Amino acid sequence: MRINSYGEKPLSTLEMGMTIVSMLVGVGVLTLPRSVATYTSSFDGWMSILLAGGIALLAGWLVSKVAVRAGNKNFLDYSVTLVGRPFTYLIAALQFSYFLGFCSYETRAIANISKQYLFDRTPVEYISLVFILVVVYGVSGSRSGLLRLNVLFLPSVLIMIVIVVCFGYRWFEFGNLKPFMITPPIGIAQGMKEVIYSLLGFEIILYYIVFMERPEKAPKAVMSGIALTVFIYLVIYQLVIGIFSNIGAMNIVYPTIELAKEIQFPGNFFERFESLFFVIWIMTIYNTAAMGFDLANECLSFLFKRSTKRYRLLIIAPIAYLICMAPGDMSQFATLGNMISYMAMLSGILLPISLLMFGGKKNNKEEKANDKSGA
Amino acid sequence: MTRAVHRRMLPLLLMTSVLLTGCWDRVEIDQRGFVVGVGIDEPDKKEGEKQGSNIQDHDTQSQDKQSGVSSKQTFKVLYQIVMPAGLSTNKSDGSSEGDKAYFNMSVEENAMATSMAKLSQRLSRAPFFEHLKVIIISESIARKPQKFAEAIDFFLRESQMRRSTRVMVTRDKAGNILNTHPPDQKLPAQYLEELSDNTKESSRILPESRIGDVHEFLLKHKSFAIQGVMNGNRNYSTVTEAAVFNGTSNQMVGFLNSKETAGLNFMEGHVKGGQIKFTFEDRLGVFSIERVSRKLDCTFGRDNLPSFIFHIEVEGSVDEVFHAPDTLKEPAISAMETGVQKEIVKLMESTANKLQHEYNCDVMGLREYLFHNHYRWFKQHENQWEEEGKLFSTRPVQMDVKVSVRRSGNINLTED
Repeated sequence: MRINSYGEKPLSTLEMGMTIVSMLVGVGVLTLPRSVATYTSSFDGWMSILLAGGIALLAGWLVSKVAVRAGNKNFLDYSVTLVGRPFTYLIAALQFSYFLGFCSYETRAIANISKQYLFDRTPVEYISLVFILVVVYGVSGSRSGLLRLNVLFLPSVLIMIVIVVCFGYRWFEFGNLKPFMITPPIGIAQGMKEVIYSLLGFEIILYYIVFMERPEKAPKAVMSGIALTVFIYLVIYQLVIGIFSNIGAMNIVYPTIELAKEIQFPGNFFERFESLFFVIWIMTIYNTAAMGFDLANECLSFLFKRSTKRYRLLIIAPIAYLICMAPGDMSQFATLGNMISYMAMLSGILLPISLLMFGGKKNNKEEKANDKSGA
Repeated sequence: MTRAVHRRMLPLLLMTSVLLTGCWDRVEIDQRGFVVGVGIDEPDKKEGEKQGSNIQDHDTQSQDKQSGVSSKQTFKVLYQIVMPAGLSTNKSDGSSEGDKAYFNMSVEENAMATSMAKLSQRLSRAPFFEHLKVIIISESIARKPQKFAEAIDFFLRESQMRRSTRVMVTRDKAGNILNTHPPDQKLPAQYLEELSDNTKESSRILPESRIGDVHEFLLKHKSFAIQGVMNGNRNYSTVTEAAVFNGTSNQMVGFLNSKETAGLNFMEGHVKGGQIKFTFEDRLGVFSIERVSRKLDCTFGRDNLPSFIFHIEVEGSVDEVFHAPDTLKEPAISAMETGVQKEIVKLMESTANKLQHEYNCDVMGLREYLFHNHYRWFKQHENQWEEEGKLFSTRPVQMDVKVSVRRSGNINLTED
């Protein structure tokens, strides 16, 4: 990796942590309070969020261990040394489709939401087309520039959340949080599942670790990123329950946006806060989608070594658009989301972790074997 | 740049020009019809509607009569739309007389969204709801089963809508209320919104009923009360009553008058200010409320059924006393405190009595209290609370009110 110019300067641990947060905080948080509230009663979803966060932390730690072990090598190259080329092709294909689906899903989600709240008459197809075009533009530039965008955007997202929280407390009713601890364990577990879906995405560390100044600190970056995200979810969740109550949150499609709509600044000076909220939120979703796209491109480059980046992007963009427009209604869209989440678990978490075990046990033997066979 | 690059740029530029043709959603601000108030009434049965000052729609009615569908429509929806020209303040005095800042237009329909569509058939400006302030629903709609929820669904579902829009119920015609036009306010809807906020001035106004809260009540099957507004005439409307809705059937069962509304406010701990008229030693006094704290407790008796006690502490000052004794001395102060205390207990008891025995609607939050604090018990008796077992109406409710008169104004005695 050439790191001469300022823009190519390696990322510090903090910056990598911010990248992880930008990846995790996507469209999930806009609907998260609803999906958690659906399975839990009153305020018990906090347990779901914390437990899911714990699982994500563990998985994140393991995955980043894999990344650290790969060191300066690309994850896929590293996997070649462990399990050989054919199996790695399979992994690459799986991860390619996962990242592609991820990008498409985020695009469609933001297009749906923009259609509902911002653009009444603009067709969804058009909104997502424009969004994908901008994503393609972002991805076709320098990769570490893309990562720096996270560092640029994330603070404004955090400020936005702080504003929502501060002004939202005006309608907060503590009574809505009571009674505590009434959800059966099965409900908590179902809620957990929903939260975990919104915590997927930290596997990007496998690929982005090469940009880090000190790759051995990757686990710390990933874990702090996940922890901050869990904290954000928790804050938004308790605010939504406190304001809309459990059953209200269940029946509001985008509770977090309604939260932003509730906010009124004193003096009616700034009546439509949610438009600002949207602008900022689209920025973070743009980051998420762009990173997904970038990694899909990365996987594809492993599959087709000779292709140039421009052709790869030209291939990926239409596929992403097609996947994005495939779901016809809200329930099909949810199915797409579930499929992508399953793929994330499989290709983003289980596979790397099993590689870790594989690599851990047979590390020496494999390396020798691969040295002979490879080269 | 080389010529080849130029040649490549040309199609790109052409392509982008296709994308730049314009914005689908562009609506200039002067093309929007800002809807600030909505009134929902039952359609008129009589022919020949009374001509108000507003622009009524004789067109549709005659059309409807011709096709004979008039009776089928369930709602008569009145939209209040802003006329921006009338809002500007720096006008010459001469013309201001005739200028109104709003006009009302009513449509008969059985669904809100189609009524909006009908509205667009008549207005040059597309109706725009983001500044909707109040929705007034007439009693006749609210009393019909299901109709209330049907009427507000659109105002919750449509993406332009805010959950902070006010909802009120009126005994009157909603159309009359939306014609209230006091001289100092240009828009009736804004007038009503500000009026509904006056809870600091009067204890007889229920806290504003936001449509989002109403949505939650309907979902929770909680009985609830929303602000009532009455005697709408040209110059004023009064917001003081409370319309009581049954949580099981989600329909309105009756009104609480202004005193009972005050009692309800005390029980829910919503009182922020206002006056209480009291008598002590055959004298009349007025107590001004400054601070109220409310706590609800319950104890379970031998039959495993709860009995409730409201602990209420009121602080305030005396604003007016007729033929006062020495208002700085302890006996007079405690006499006044007892007088106020009795008055508040009376208010609350009359409310509790009406809610328990006449309406059988637990508006005062006992059910919520049990749900929050005695969940197990609540789960066992959930269905017996208001419905079958009528537990609610038989539960004893006690009022424990403590009043402190902190101040008695600038003077001690008026006459000697």
